[in-house]
Amino acid sequence: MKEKPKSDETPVPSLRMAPAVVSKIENRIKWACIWSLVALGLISWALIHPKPLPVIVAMSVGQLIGTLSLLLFLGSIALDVRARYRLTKRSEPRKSGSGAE
Amino acid sequence: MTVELPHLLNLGALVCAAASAAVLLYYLIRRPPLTTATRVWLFAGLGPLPITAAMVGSYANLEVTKEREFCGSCHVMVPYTEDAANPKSSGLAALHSKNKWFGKESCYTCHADYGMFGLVATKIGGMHHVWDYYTGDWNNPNHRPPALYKPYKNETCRQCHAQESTKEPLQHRVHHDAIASGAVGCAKQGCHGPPHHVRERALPGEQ
Repeated sequence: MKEKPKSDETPVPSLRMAPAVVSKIENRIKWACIWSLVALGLISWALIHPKPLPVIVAMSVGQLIGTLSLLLFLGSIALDVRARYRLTKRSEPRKSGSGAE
Repeated sequence: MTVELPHLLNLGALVCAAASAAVLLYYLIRRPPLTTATRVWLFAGLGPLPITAAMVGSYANLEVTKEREFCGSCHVMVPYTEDAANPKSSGLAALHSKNKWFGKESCYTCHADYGMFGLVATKIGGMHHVWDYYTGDWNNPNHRPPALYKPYKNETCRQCHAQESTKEPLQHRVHHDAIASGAVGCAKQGCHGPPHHVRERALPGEQ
C-alpha cells in the first residue's frame, strides 16, 4: 500500500513560520521594549526632577525614542501578520488540491 | 494641603509610565509566546500607556516650566527669582509676585508673549536662553549678565493694566501716545522700574 506524503497528513507544521522570521520578529519586539523603557526613563526623569535639561531631553529625545520604539513594534507586528498571511496563502492551494483528489 | 494641577498630572504620568514599564519588563524577563493576548497587552505597554505618559507628562512639564522655582533652576537667574520672592523687596517683580492669582508664575506671566501662539513663542525664546546658559561660561566674571534679547514690550504690562481706563493717572494720559508706541517704557525709563532689584555685578574689590 502506497503511503501518503507526510505533508498531506499534517498540514499544521507547514503553517509554522520559519525560525529566522520568528527570531526577527521577537528580536524587534525585544528592542522596541528596551527603547521604550529608555524613553519612559527619560520622561520619568523629567517628571521627578523638573529642571531645564531633563525637561528638554524628555520632550525631545525621550519622545523621539518612544515614537521610534512604537513604530518598531508596529513594524514587527506587520511583519508577523504578513508572514502569517503568506503562510496561509501558500497552504490554501495545497489543501484544495488534496481535497480534489 | 492643596494638590495642584501640575503635580496631579505629574503623578498620573508617572503611574502610566510605571504601568507601561511593568508590562515591558514582564515581557523582557518572562518572554511569553507571541499569542494574540500577548500582542494586545504588549501593544498597551508600547502604545497607549507610554503615549499617555508622554502627553500628560509634557503638559505637566509645560505647566512646571511656568513656575518661578523652575526659572531659578539656572543659577544665573537665582538673584532675580530671589528678589521676586522677597516680600520686602519693592521691585516690580516682587510686587507682582505677591499676587495670589499668578504670584507663583510671576516670571512667566510678565515675560510671556501673548496671543494664540504665545506659549510656543515664549518657549522657543526660553530655549534660546537655555542654549546660552549651557554654552556660555557664566562663572567667568567678564561674562555679560543675563538679559532679554528684545526690548520689553509695554503691551505685556497692558494686558492687565489697561491704558484706556478713565481711572488712569494723569501721567499715563499725558504720555499716552509715547507709551502706546513704545517710545516710553513702563519700567525702563524709571517710571515704575527697575523691575528687579538685583545688583548685576559686584563692584571691583568686593569680589
